[in-house]
Amino acid sequence: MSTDIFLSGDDTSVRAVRVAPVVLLGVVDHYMRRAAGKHRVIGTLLGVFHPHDGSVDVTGSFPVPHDENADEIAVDIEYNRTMVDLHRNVSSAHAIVGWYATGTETDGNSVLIHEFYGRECAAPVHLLVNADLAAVATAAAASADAADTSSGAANGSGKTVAGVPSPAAPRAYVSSAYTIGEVALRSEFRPVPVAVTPTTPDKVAMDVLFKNRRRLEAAQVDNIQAGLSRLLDLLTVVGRAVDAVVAGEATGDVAAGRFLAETLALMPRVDSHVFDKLFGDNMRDLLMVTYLCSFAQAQLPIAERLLSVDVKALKQ
Amino acid sequence: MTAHVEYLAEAVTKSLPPIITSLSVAALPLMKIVKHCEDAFPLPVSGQLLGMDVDRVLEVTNCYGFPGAAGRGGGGEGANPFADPTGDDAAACTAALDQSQYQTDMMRCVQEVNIDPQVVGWYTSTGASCGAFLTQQWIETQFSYQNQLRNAVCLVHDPVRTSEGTLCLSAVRLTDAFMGVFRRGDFSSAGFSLASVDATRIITSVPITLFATSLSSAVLVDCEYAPPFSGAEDVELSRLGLNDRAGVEASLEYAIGELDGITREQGRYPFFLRSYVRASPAVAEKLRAKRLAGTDTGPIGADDEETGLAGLLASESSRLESKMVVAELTSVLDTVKLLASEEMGKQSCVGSLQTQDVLGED
Repeated sequence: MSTDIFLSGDDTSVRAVRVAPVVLLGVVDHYMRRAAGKHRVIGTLLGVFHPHDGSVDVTGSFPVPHDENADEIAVDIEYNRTMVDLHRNVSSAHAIVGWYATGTETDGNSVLIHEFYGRECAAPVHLLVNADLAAVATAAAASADAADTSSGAANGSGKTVAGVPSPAAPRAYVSSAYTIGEVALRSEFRPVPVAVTPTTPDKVAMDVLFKNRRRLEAAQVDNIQAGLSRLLDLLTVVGRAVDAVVAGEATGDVAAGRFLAETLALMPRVDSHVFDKLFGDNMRDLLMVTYLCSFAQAQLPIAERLLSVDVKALKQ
Repeated sequence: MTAHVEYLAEAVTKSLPPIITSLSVAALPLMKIVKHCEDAFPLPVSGQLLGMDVDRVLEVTNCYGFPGAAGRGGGGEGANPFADPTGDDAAACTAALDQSQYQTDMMRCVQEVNIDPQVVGWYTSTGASCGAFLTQQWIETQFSYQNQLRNAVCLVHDPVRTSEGTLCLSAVRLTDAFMGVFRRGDFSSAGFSLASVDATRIITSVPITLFATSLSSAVLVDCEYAPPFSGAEDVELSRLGLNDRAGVEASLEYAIGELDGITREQGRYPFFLRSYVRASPAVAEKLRAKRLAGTDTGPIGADDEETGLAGLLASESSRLESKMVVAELTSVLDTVKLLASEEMGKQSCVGSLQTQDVLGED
């Protein structure tokens, strides 16, 4: 071990990995559709590498068929190449940035696959997604027995129970090769921080999916109402906390208090006459828009009639 | 392509109503569509939907994008996988051949990794055009799909409104009545009125539900409470921002542009009317009376023999375009009304915040 101190691993220059949610869904979908008898699936990650800060954006992925047993592994290189070409047709900006696999740990075969991807791009990233829910459940049960302090799902995806990450908390590795001169000694997988980073449209779509999962029908018109009631709920929670502090039932948190004060100070205090005028103007504008739209819509059937001759009437 | 002609000929003889009554979209294709449309914005893009029909529900389980927007700009001919490559334009011909090669390769690839290899329809992004998608090309593409696959749907996604906080996805089909009109290729007034098709009956929408497999649900559950989706990042709250005026204005401007289109059409149509009038003096009498009375063409009450009518209508320009403009305008105006009412809701909220002083002092 001590010799490692004198060796420096190859600087792979990847410092952080950002993963789009669609990639995770793609991986679990692939795992669900794996061939009978397969214990893991692999695929190629597409995205963009930013050299200036060493971060990698993983924005897409596709499955790659492979075969493996104890000491042999075969990745369908031809398939990989075809798919990369096909994807390039659709979006030229995306290149190979690494590969994904399902499971909880890397093994000897991972090294071989990683070497293969090392030929496809400069610094491949290996994304390890645990798609085995049974393992998560077992580990969660075990840790719940050990310590009863687990606070349930509220702690979110970052939670790793006894070394078994949830499917939404992938792990990423880069490989460093240790060499003396030209002689390769060994290589190792070095973990890099990974974050799931949704874009705004991603979040909007996922929000609908969350609600759908909870059997909430999300009609488009009700969005504002839902948002407002959510805001009201949150305000009630805050109000209750403040009341508790005021009544002396709970000790106040200085940071939270300051934050609340700052938030309240943010609210513009407008003179009521000025506000009434502003409010009225805006309202009138919007009402006018609505009125004109309804008016135009009423005119449309007439316009359609005017732009055709009534042949049925002509024939009668 | 001979196959193209063959299926057209075959389809004329039989009419196939759809079996499906609703559409079920899985989490993965939904996210992929949203991503693809967003990446290519403001260019409109399209892609293939894969899945299977289970009884009366069409399940969409995967999808892939069509090449086009990135390489050639503007989707173009590339969007229609059934496009006839024997067209006179050489570039369009190569594009269509490339497209069919791409389709074949992609289908082979998805089959190899156990993705449902059945095409169930296509998706398209409305790009920067305020949710409007109804164009001649869209109709042609959708017609080809529905001709080949009786259940084919088109998922229309509006990336602009989605970025603003409302997932705007709808599944549409051409109505069977309009399919009949399009198949006959008779876009005269007579063609439309015989099939009782007006602007509101060109397309019909199919209800969408979402579903997620157990594993996808697990990912969703974990994501829902993760930092990037909750707290200050909660879209439900960021949606309440008072910045949608731009959306209303853009949609309104688009609607005004469409209204101009109708006006232009109204300017052109009298040319036909004039010849119509000249060819049938009996009708002309009535029409002139109407014109003097101020109503433009109105319903004509005159009798006319069958043969003369056909000759008259032969010179009528295609009514398809004006119907499309009217249909599109109706939906755009609906959107504007929706945006305006949302905005009014937010306004009232701000109003009550200001009048009921939260600090409790006056």
